[in-house]
Formats: sequence, structure tokens, C-alpha cells
Amino acid sequence: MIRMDNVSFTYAGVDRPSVTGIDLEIPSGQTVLLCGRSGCGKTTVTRLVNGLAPHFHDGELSGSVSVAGIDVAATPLYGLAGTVGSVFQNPRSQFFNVDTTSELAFGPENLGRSRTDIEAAVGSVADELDLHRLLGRSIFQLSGGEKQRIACGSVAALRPPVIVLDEPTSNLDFAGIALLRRCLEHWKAAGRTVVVAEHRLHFLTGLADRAIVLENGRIADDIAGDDFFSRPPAWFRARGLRQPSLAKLDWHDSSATVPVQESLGLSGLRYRYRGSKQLALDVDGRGLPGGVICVIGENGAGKTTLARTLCGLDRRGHGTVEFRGRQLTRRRRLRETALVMQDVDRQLFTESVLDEVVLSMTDGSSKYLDGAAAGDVEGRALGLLATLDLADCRDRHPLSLSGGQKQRLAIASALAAGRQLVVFDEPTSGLDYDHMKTMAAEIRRLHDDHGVTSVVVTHDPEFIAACGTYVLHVDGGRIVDDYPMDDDGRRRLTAHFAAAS
Amino acid sequence: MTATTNPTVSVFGRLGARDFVTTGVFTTIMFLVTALGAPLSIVPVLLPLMAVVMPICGGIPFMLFAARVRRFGMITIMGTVLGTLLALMGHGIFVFATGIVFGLLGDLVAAAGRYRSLKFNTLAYGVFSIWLLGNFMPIVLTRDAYYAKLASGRRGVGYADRLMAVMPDWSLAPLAVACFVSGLLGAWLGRAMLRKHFERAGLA
Amino acid sequence: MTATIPATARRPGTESGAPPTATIAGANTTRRLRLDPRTKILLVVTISTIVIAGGGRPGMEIVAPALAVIPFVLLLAAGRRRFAAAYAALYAGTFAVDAGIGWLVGPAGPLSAAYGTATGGAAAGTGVAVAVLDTVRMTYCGVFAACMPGIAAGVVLVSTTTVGEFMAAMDRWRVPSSVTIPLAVVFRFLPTVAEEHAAIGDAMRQRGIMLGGSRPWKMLEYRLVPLIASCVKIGDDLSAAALTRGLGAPVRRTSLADVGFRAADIVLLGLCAAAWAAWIVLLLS
Repeated sequence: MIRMDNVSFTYAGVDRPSVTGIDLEIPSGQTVLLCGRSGCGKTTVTRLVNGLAPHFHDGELSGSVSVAGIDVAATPLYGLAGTVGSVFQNPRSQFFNVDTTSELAFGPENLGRSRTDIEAAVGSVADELDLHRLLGRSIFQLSGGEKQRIACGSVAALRPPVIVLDEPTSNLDFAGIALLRRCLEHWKAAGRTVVVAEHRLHFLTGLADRAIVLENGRIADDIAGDDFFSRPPAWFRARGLRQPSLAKLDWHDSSATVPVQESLGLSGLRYRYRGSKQLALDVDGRGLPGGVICVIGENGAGKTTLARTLCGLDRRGHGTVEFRGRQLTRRRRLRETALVMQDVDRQLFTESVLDEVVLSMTDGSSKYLDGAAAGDVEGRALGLLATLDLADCRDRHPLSLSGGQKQRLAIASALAAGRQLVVFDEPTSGLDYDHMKTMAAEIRRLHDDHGVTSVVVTHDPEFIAACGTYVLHVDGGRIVDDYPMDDDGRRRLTAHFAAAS
Repeated sequence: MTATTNPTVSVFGRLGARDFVTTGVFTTIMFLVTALGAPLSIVPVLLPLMAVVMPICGGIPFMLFAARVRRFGMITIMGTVLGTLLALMGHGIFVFATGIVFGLLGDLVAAAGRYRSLKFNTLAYGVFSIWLLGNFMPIVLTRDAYYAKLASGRRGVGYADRLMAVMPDWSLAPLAVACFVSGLLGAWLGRAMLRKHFERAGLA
Repeated sequence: MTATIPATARRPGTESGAPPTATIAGANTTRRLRLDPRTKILLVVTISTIVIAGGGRPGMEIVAPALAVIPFVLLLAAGRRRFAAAYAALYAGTFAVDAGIGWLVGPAGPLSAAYGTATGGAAAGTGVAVAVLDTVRMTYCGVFAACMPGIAAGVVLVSTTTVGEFMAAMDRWRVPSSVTIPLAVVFRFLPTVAEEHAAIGDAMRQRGIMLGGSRPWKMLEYRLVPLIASCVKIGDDLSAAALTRGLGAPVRRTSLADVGFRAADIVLLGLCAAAWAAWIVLLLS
């Protein structure tokens, strides 16, 4: 169904090929997992299949790619639309329409199908993927998991024999991933050829017929799915892959970093959406230890609301936070906490990495402005950049950095402003094993070296295992469970994720 | 050599779906800059101010847009779509006409510099900014109409003239000049941002 | 019942009343009166253009209020009662304020008398008061009154039309894809820009970057640069996703949305025609 003969691809403006010498034959009906470290070339392989390389992303292609007998390089994208369907990483940016029904109809409309055909296609896709409840809704009111299901439906409406998915679970919680898996199961049963490029592997257990590991743009391993999922944890670590099994998480020793005294008190934290009778957040009389507090719970459980309220970002979020013996009102929280957003781009403002850190020292937190000479400020900023491994890019534009570098820059800015309570929103979404481990080490170091208490909103059990010291389970706007990361805590955490998946 | 880098054929080639999406994205930003300023221009003293503020704010997105344009037509489309949107919001049909006309004129100026000349792009934005006249037209027209109504009324021309005094006669010509000059200023600001941010961030 | 939900996609028992519909304005509204988007577009253009350009011609004092009633009725039919009431109050208010200020500053009014007899500070004070009243009158009764009906008709259009229907209407008029695709992208992007704007505002507040900060002149830069950068990236993703689903195929696009003229459309189009006829008559007389 998919055939690649000695394929290499080099993006325009890049001197190194992203993939080289790919020979690949994927028979009809196979479900294939593509994995490997960030930058290994798995996304490029999906783009070679759906034609985005070279038709959308310019570059030099050698060798030949054919899908269902069609020469991809010689066929315009609209000519491939009926043959290859594509689901992308970010559910926010792959919708063309503002309502779900139109999104399902979008492909057939573009190809000029008749209205009765389109109606039939939308209806049968809604049946197959169980989307009836989502029809006619605004896409801006859907959760991430719901958006990804609509994205799958939108692709399926054209009935393509081949479907490629590029990191489809990056922004999903476990419940969302489980729903996505059902779409994949359906396609597999229907005999479609499915190619999934992913970092998170657990949900493909028992589903992928075949796993291909890429390393530096080449195929390193090409093995049967069952074989792949039965490899030992060390095998995955050696290849920079996430553990596919919850039972084999790599726990760090958290006992060393758990401080004994209570340090974060939440009292009367309440949040009510405009026009809603129900409280979206209702947390009272909670004392938590410092360290790395991981907030878990499903999408819509109130994790983000809790994070925003902790940071004092929303006027509707009432209540007080007691942090290390001091009462922080909403306004003070705005001054004394920092939020590292999931989409870090939104919080970087200046023209260079150094300026970004200096900005945090001179604006807002007057603490460091007092008596600090300009040279001193810059010296301190450079020191901070060095501890976060950013000294080399001090003059680069923040938006030109890699994702991990941007995150570290946001952390550096928080430290520069003297913030001791740092809230992270999904810091590991879309990160491979190595980058996830680096991030975990960074957050631990924030605590050990800088005395910072972190609150981390996350769906990533492997990440919690690597750095969490305390877990806060949120549901329906309330804390339903909280426990330290001791042996018992580890069991409870594993059980929670196992139940959700 | 591919067609996009060949200087003799590139500017008047066919636009594709991707160009239309890009145009739509930048039009949204330009529309918001305009739509946020439009209600303010109803207040008499703020009207000339808006003719200065709106082109300046729009200069930043526009110059990045112009840097991403490869072929003729995208600025015309931007003007047309902006005009259509404001006309559909009930600002009258005039803005639709000025959107098309000044979009086209701006496009021609930028095309003369093959969309790669900062000088031509700056001038193009100055010309394009005059499209805002269509947005001010209802205010000027209704003001004149109201004047006529008052002047023909019982109180007569004297009172009408006194009333006009609080709303200076911002007829279209000085407003057009204000739009053009502020457009140049906005483009200059946009150029600074282009150099300072967008080029270094790899977006231009 | 909306046609955006195909018959085959409906399940018995899952719906009570009309299903919600995501309109251009983003709100989920239930529509009792269905109009073809083309009718609504023509209404906006007719009402706004005639009321604005008709201005103070004799006869317009009847035509303008008559046209102003149409969006009021349609707003009620769309279930936007509160907005309709606010519109009616504001519009009626223009007549009251016009008359009230006219009397205050008129020859029989108290301010006019004071203006004539007062001296020194009192005269200056009265002068300022009169100038303020004149400005209010000019702005509210002169300009705003004439713009309101068109804007209200625009609200009817965006709050009762889905993007799909709008595009289908454009298609019927053979508007080329060079205009319809950017228009669709604008409708899709407005909420996205709002989201980005809010998130950037959060980040700015938290980092203490505000107008009172040490670099107030940089506000525009700090606001716009991340916003534009974000939009460009989302736009690129959106292009790729749309192209893989056949956007730009050299065939005439079809549409799931069902548009077509019904009785109500004919009535409203008749009203539009009458308004234009009246306008031309007034113009010539």
C-alpha cells in the first residue's frame, strides 16, 4: 500500500537530510507505529506519505514514494486527499471550520461531492466513530480528546485507504487517548492502513502490527508489534523511547527531596464560571508539603482552573494561598508566582534570550530593581542562563529556540523575578524520553538548588515518576485524593492511570 | 532553479489555497485592529485620532504579511475581504469599494518592488491605508446629513453652524492624507519589528 | 431544525427541540425563523447604505425608522431578546435626546437664556455645557443613530448564520475561492486570536509588564509580536491540515449547508426593493 524506495529528504534551508535511505513496504491493512527520539525523522516519514513533503514543506526529495500506486511527488495534495488522510498533533490548529459538522463535511465539499453524498458520508462517519453527540457543536467548546475524534472523523469522511497520524496524543489525557484508540481499532478492523508517529506508546499495545524505530533519519529497528511491546525497559531507554507499560515506570527516589514541614496552604479557593451555578473549583483547608506537587485528573476536572487561581490570573478565582507562612492574596500571587505555559511562545516578549531574563529583573518584581546596577543585573542574568544551559544562545531570538530551550528560558525568567512558587502546565506534552527526563531533572533542580516549590499539571505518569514528590488528584473542581510519592503513593498513582486507560 | 526563485515569472503567477489561508490569517489581525478602532471613531474628537492610530497599529502585521507575499493579488484580496467584513457588519457599502480599490493600488505598488523592496512595501502600506476612508465615510456622510437636517429646520443655519463647530469638518481629503502618512509611519514601525523580531525568529 | 445536521446523522430521542447551531458569532443559537444568508446580506447592505447615505433628505424621517424596525423584528425572531430591547431603547433614545437637547439649548431653553445674559465665569461655564451637549447630540443623534440599524442588521447576520451557510451563499453568487477561503479563515481565526490575546495578556500581567511598568511605549510590541508569531504558526498548521483534505482542488466546491429562498425571504427582499425605490425617488425629488 505504501512503498518507499531509497528515500531521502532534506528540508529547504537545512544542510542535513531529515531522513536518508528509507526503504519501506507497508502492506494493505497494517497498523504501523513509527517512533524514535525527537528529530529522528518520524514526522518527515508521515509527511512523505501524505505529500506535505515536498508539496507543502519545500525540500529536496530523492528516491520514490508511492501510496496505493500513486506517485506522491508527482501528485498535487488535492489529488492525494482521497487516498491518504492525516491527523495532526495539535487539535487547536487543524480545524478549518468553526463547527463540528462542517468539519466532517469539509473534505467531501472540497472535492465537489454532491450534497446527498456528503450527508451520507457525515452520517456514516458519525455512526462508525460514535460522534453523534458532538455534531453541530462549536469546536471552541470541545475538549482536546473530542477535538481529536472530530479530526479523525473529518479524515475518515473521505474514506481514504491510508491514514497517517503525527503525534496525535500529545495534547490528550488518558481518557482522550482511550477514545482515540477506539478510532484506530475501528480503522484496523475496517482494513485501513494506519501509520502512527508517536512518543507515547502504551495505547498502541495490542494494536500496532509492526513498530519501526528511527534513529538519525534511518530505520534502526523494524519489528513485529508483539515483539516490540515485550522488550525490556532498558531496550526502550537505550533508544530514547517512552515506556509502553505503566508497570515498568522508572521511579526516582523522592524521599530525599520531600520537605517535612507544611508549606502550601489552600483556603477557600473557589472559581465559578460566569452564569454557572456550579463551582468549577472548590478547595478549602488544604495543607500541602513543598517539593514537586503533581496535579492529575481528567480534562475538565479543574486542574487548569486550579493552576490559574494559584497564580492569581483570574479575578473570578477567589481565596487565599498560604505559602511558607505568608498569606498571598490574588494580587500578591500574581507577583510572587510564575506560570510556565504549555504554549511557551505566548510568554516570551523580547528580542533576545538575555533581554528576556533582564526584563523579569527590571519589570514587575521591584525586588531586584532596588540598588541593582545595570551591569549587576546583566551579570546575574548571565549566571542564571548558564545554570539553565542557555548561555550559548544569549543573543538569539527567544522564538527561534527549540521547545525545550523556550521552556528553560521561561523558567530562567521566573527565577530572575525571584518567584518561589512555579506552576507548570503540561510541561512534557509532545516530549520524547530524553527531553522528558531533562525536564524532570530541571524541575527537581529548581527545588534542590533554588528552593522553588513547583506545582505541575500533567497527564504523564512517567514524568511524575521521574520528579514528583506529591500528588494532588483533582476531580469536579475538588481535591479527591492527595498523597506523597512513597511506595503506597506509587501504587495509587499507577492504579489511577491504569484505570483511566 | 524553481519558479519561485526565478525573478521573471514569480510576481504574476497563480495564487494557491495556501496563499489564501495566509491572507486570511493576516486579514484577521488587520480586521481586529480596524474593528477595535471603528466604534471609537464615532466620537468626533477621536475620528482624526483613529485615522492615525489604526494605520500605525496595522503596520506591524502588514509588513510581515508583505514579506510573506510572493505573488500579485494577496493585498487586493486582503482589502476586499476587509471591506466585505465591515460592510457585512453594517458600516455601509462604501468600505467595500475602498477596500478593493486601495487594496489593488497597494498591491500594484508592492508588485513594482517585487514584494521584496522595503521601500515599495512601505509606500504600498501608505496607499493601502487609505482604504480606511470607507470606514469613516458613514461618519462624514451622516454628519453632513445631520447638518442639512438642522439647517433646514426651525432653528436654521446659525445653530447648525454652531453645532458643526464642535465637530470640525474632517472632510475626506485631510483624512486620506492622515491615513497615508500614518500608514508610512506604521510601515516604518513594522519594518523595525520585522528586523528586530520576525526575521530573527525565522518567520519572515 | 437545521440542515447542518444531516438526516442520516440524527438519532431519534437524542434531541429535544431545535439543536444548537454554532454561528459565525460563535454563539449557539436556536433559530425559529430561517432566512437565506443572501437575504440577510442584502438586508445589511440595504439598511446600512440607505440609512447612512440617505441622511437628512426629506422623507428619510419615515424611511429610516421603517428600515430600523426590520433588524429589531429579526433579532426577536432569533431569540436575541435582550439585544433587541437594548437596540430599541438606544434607537428610540436618539429621538428623545435630540428633542431634549434641542429644547435645552434652544431659544426657549434655560441654557440658551443663561448664555445670553450671564457674564464672566458663568458664561464660560454655560459655553462648556452647551458645547458638551452639542457634541453628545452630534455623536449620538447625528452619527450613531444613522449607523445603528445597519449594525443591528449585521448582528442578525452573524448571530443566525453558520459559516457553512455563509459559504454556500457566497458560492451561489459565484464569489471566487480567492475571496471565500480567506473569509472562512477569518471566521475561523477570530476566536483563535481572542484566545491567544487573552493568554498573552495573562503572561504579561504575571510578568508585571503593564502600562505602568518601566517601558510603557513597548506595550504595542509586547502585545502584537507574540500574537502575530502565534497566529502565523497556527495558520501554517491550518493550511497543511486543510490541504491534505483537498482544499484548493480545481473543482467547484459543494456545500453541506442547505440554502434557498422561502416565503420570508421573498417578503424581506420585497422590502429591500421598496426601500431602494423610495430612496431613488427621494434622491430625484
